[in-house]
Amino acid sequence: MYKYDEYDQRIVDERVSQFRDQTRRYLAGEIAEDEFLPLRLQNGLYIQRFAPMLRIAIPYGMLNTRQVRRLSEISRKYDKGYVHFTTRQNVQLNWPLLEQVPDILADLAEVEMHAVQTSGACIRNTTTDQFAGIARDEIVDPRPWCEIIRQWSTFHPEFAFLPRKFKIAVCGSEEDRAATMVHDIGVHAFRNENGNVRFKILAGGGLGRTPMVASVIRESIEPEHLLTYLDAILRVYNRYGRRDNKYKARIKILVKAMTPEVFTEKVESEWEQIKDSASLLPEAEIQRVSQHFIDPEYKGLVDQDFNDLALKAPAGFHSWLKQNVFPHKKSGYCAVTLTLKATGDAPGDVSAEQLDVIADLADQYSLGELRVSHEQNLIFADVEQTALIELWEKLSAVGLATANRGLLTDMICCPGGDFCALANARSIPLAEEIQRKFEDIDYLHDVGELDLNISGCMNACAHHHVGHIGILGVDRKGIEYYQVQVGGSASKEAALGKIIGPSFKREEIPDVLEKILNVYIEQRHEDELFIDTCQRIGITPFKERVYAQAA
Amino acid sequence: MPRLLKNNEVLENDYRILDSESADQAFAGTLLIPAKELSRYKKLLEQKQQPTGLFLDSDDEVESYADILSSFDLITINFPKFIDGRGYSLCRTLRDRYHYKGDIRAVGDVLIDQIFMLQRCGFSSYYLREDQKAEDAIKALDTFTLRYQGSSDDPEPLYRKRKAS
Ligand code: HEM
Ligand code: SF4
Repeated sequence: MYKYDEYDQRIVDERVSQFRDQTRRYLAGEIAEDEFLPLRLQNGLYIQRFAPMLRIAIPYGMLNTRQVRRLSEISRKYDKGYVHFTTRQNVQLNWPLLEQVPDILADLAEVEMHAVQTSGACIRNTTTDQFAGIARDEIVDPRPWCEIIRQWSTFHPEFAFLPRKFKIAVCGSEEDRAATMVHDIGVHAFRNENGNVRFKILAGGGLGRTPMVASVIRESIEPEHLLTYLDAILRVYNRYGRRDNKYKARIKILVKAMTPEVFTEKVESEWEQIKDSASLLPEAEIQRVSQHFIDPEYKGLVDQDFNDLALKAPAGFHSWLKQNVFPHKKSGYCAVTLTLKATGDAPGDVSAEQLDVIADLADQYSLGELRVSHEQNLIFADVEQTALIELWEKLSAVGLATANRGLLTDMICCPGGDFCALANARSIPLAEEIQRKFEDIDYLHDVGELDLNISGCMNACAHHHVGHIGILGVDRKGIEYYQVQVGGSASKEAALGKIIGPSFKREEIPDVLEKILNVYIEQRHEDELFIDTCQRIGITPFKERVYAQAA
Repeated sequence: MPRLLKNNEVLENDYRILDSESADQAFAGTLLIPAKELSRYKKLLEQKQQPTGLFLDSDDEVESYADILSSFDLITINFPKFIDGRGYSLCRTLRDRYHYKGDIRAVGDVLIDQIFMLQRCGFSSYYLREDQKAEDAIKALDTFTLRYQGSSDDPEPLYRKRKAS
C-alpha cells in the first residue's frame, strides 16, 4: 500500500488548514453560499436531505486497518456510528456537522486520508479493480498507476473548475472489474508484444441522463506519456466541453458531438505540444511508486482442496466458500469478500462495531489491509486458505459472512430518497424487500451471477444502466415508481440495459424480478449466465412474461 | 478600495476595455482591445500610442491571435463566473505554447479562493472582484507550499524534485 512521505503529508495537512479557513470565513458570512459550494464540494461536503454528507476518498479502494479504526472512531465521535461505502470506492458520513468537518479532516489526515476532490466539477478519486495486485488474470498491476494519477490530479490547478465532474478508472486484468467503459476516461493497462507496459485510453463513457459507453481514443501509449496524455484530454474537455447546460456538460457529450475521431485529433494535436515537457514521467518515479505495491512476503503455501475444506466445515460454509472466495495469484492464498448486503442493512452500510471487528480480522488474517469494491463491498485480499473456516466463523458472528457475492441480493444500491435530496424514489427499502423475497441462498446460487443495480433517480449513482437487471426510481405525479431494464453490463463488452416497459409500484418489484428470473431459468442453456441468456433471447420474452396479465 | 493585485502589491486599476463609444485616448493606462473586435481596432494597435492589451473572454480562441501576441503589453482573461474554468487553460496555452512573457491578468469574477490556482496556471496579476479582501488574496497565494504537478509557474512536477527515499 502507498505510504505518504513528508511531501504527501504536508500537502494533505495544508489542505486541512485551507478548508478550516474557508469554513471559518463561510460561517462568518465572508463567503457567499454559492461560492462556498464548489469549495466544500471539492472537499467532499454535500448538504443533503437531512444533514451535510461528507464523502471521504479511499484512493483506488485501498485501506489499512489503522484507517479502518479511524473511520470507526470518527463515525462515533462526529456521526451516528456507521459509515456508507459507495460505488466509487469512497466512504460517506451521513450526519456530520459542518462546523466539525475541519476537525474530521484533521483526524483523517493523521492516518493519510482526506476528502480531496470526492465531489465537485474536478477530477475525482480514481478507481480500480478491488483485486488489483492479487488477481490471477492480472496483466499489469493498476495500483501504482492509480497512485501516479492521484498525485497528478490532486489540486491540478488547471482542472479544478471543469464543466462537470470527471472520473477516471483503471484496469489491468483480462476482466474489467472497475466498470472502466462507463467512466469519463478508462485506462486499460496491458503488455505489448515485447512485454512492456502500455495503456489503451478510452474516453466519453458515463451514465446519468444520457448513458454512453466509452470510445477508444488511443490504442497504445507509453507510460512516460500517460500524464501528458491525460493533461491533453482534460485540456480539450475544459476548453470545449459545454457549460451552458449541466446535463450536456460531461465529456461523453463532447466526444459524441465532435465524433470520437475529431475529438482524438484535437487531443493528439494538444498532446504533441506538451508530450516532451517536464511532465514526462521518469522511470525513477514509476519505480518509486511501484515499490509501495510490491508483493508482501507470502509464505510458501500449497493450494487447499476446497471440496475437502468444505466437508470439514459446518453447514453454510460451503456456499460462502463458493461465492465469496476469489482465487489468488499465490498458491495457498485467496481473497475474501465481505458483502455489505445482509438483509435489513442498507447496502454499503457498516457499523462502527463491525468496523472494529473488521480491522481486527484484517490484521489477523489479511496482512493488515483491505479493499473496497465498486459493488459496495469490502475485501480481504491476502487470506491463507487454511484460515478460511476460522475467518468465516468470526465473520458470521458479526453478520459479515453473507454468501451472496455477485448474486441477486448483492445489489448495488444508491442511498435514494432516504438520504439523497435528488431522489425520485427510495432505493434502500426496495433493496430490503428484494432481499427478503430472495432469502433462500440455494435458489440464489442456482440463479447464479447476476448484477442488480438500483438507482433512486436518473443520475444513476448505482449504475442501473449497466446492471444485468437495472431498476430506476421515477416520479409519476409525485408518486414513487420503479422502471425495470435488463441486459446491461459493465464488463469490457459493456452494454446499456433496455427498459422492458411501463414502471411499477415498489411492492410489485419483487414479483417482477421473480418473473424475469423464471424466464431465464426456463430458457437458459447449461451453465449460461443470466446476462448471456439476455443477450441471446433479447428483452421480448421478459417483457411478455412480466406484463402478461395486463394483456 | 484598490483591488488590482500584482507582484504582491495592491494597486489602483490601470486598464480600461475599449468599447465603440470611447476609443478614449485620454486614458493614461492600458487600453484593452476585446479579441472579438480586434479587426475594428487593427489601426490602433499598429500605430500604438499608449500601452495596449488584449481582452480575452473565456470562449475566445487564443490560437487565432498567436501571431500578434507580442504586440500586446497586457492580456486579460475574463472569468464571467468563477466556476468557468476555461481561463485556466487559456492562460497555460499563452504561457506554455506561445511563450507569452508579458503580464496576464485575471479579471471578472476573480475570488481569493481561486487565486492560488490562477497563479499556478501563469497569471501574473489579478483584478479582484469588488468585495474581495486584497490582504486575504495575498495570503492565498501561499495556500500550498508544495505542488504535485508541473504547471506554468513551475514546470517541474514534484516527482522530479523528491528526495530519493
Ligand atoms: C447522496 C448524495 C448524492 C448526490 C447528491 C449525488 C449526485 C449525483 C449526480 C447529480 C449525478 C449525475 C451526474 C451526471 O450528470 O452524470 C450522480 C452520478 C453518480 N453518482 Fe452520485 N450522488 C450522491 C450519492 C452517490 C453515492 C452514495 C454514490 C455511490 C454509491 C454515487 C455514485 C455516483 C455514480 C457512480 C454516478 C454515475 C457516474 C456517471 O454518470 O458516469 N453517488 N450523482
Ligand atoms: S441515483 Fe439519484 S437518488 Fe440515488 S444517490 Fe444518485 S442522485 Fe441520489
